[in-house]
Amino acid sequence: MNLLARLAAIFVILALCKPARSEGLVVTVAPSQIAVSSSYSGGTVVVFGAVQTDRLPSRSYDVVAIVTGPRQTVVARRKARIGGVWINRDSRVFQNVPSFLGLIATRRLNAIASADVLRRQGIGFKNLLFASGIPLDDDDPFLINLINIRLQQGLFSDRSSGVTFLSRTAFRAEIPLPDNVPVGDYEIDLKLFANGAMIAETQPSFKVVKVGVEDFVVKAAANYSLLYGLAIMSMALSTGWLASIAFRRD
Amino acid sequence: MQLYLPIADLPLNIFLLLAMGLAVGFVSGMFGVGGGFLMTPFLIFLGISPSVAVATVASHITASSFSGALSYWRRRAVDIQMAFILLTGGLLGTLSGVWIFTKLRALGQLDLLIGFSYLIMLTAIGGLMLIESVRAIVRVRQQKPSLLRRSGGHTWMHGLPLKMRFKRSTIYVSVIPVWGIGYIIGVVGAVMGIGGGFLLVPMLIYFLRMPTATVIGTAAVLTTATMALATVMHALTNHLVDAVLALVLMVGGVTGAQFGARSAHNIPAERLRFLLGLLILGVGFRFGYGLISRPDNLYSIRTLGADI
Repeated sequence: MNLLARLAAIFVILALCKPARSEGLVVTVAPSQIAVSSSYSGGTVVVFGAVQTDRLPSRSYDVVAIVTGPRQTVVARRKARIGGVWINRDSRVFQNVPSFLGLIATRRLNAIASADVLRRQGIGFKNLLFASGIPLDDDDPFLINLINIRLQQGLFSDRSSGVTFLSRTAFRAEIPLPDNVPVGDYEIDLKLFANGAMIAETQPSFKVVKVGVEDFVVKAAANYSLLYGLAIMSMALSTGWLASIAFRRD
Repeated sequence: MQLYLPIADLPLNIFLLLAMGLAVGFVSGMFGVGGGFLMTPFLIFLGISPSVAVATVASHITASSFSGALSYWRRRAVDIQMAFILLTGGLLGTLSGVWIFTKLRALGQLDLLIGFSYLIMLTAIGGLMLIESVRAIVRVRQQKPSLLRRSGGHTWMHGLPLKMRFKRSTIYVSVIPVWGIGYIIGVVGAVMGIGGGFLLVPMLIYFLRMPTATVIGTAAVLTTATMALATVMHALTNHLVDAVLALVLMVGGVTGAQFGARSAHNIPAERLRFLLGLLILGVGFRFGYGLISRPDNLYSIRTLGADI
């Protein structure tokens, strides 16, 4: 009797696990490249995806997407009052900080999975930063303020929306990019959840690049700085000269 | 219409930038100054980082002061000999200024230095100007003659060696204070993102007793040269000059300057100095307030570089 019950339990568990192994994610990112031109003022990357399963989907899914921008070394500074004046005093350097970090999901994270699961999956700012090797200390005011400033700048975002299921298995994830988005390679970590556990994941990517005049200016300023400086100087001198000719009254 | 600025890394409204260029240009044309002391704070206020603002404004001042210098040149109101000697000090000053700028930027104290120099420089000059112009206005009211240039009025600087005769300006003075003034203007211009015209003009008048006829044109020539060098140096060492921003500001600035110069003809000189003094003092107080009031956020972050 006891043995029978155990066997039945094992059977039930196996039955539940089996479809989990055969579920996968198929996604496509559009556009795969965001062009920052002179008229750029923010953009959106859309991920279309489908849950692949060999049987009829019987349960509801959740999707969490973590978007990570190019990593940087960032210094956080704290001002202190010295002689009546506020000046930068203490500082801490953080390495490998994502320049952009966006978190979107079908609903509130704690409704999708337990805190423990989320931590193991590296979901949430602190968990993500920890996963990239930044020491996680809840009392570190430098780290807390770094996150807060990035949130204010719109470079970090944490939303319990943004992913919607169009049918039982097809979903659409919308990643809004702010106007101050850093250029570089972006990675999307898409995780599929069901019943509080992660059952599939995939990592599509996209690029943010400067194009046209913006690209030319940035490259010229960095690689040909002397020529670039001289060109701007001549531009300034000729603008001044043109103005003095155009408005000449004698 | 938003325009994305490639080096400043943010989009700003192009009409707002043009309007700002026009407004600052108007003021600069009206008072015969570069207007950098207004433009740099404006750009910082719009969210552009202080370092990009300082570096880019250098090119904006090059344009507006060159246009001014050319019109003064045509009126033969430039003491080229004086400008040349000021320049030898000024170029050295610009090099030191850009060097100081780079060092302080690395130390994280650039904002403090910019804030402090603005406070001291602007309140001092603005205050002095205000006092001087009020006295001048009172003198005009009482119909007494102007005291701006007393013949034979010598300062201790006139006792220094290496004397030289400046024919166009009709003064006989040592080149040492001329070098010194040039050097200070060069340093201040590169560090603060200003041409230093509002500083240079009173210095030349009060210390060297240069006549007002040649002083503004000569100052414009010096400012053009130091700011042109500052533009190249900032581009070379810090890669912070934004070409797109610079162009928009220049076009607005040189246009505004022409209208400013025209409307200045209708206002008496001492009243102009009074208004300029008031404006400079106001900007100075604003910076002072920023230094002593508790910032909204004690923390700030800066990206040091990209990780692979």
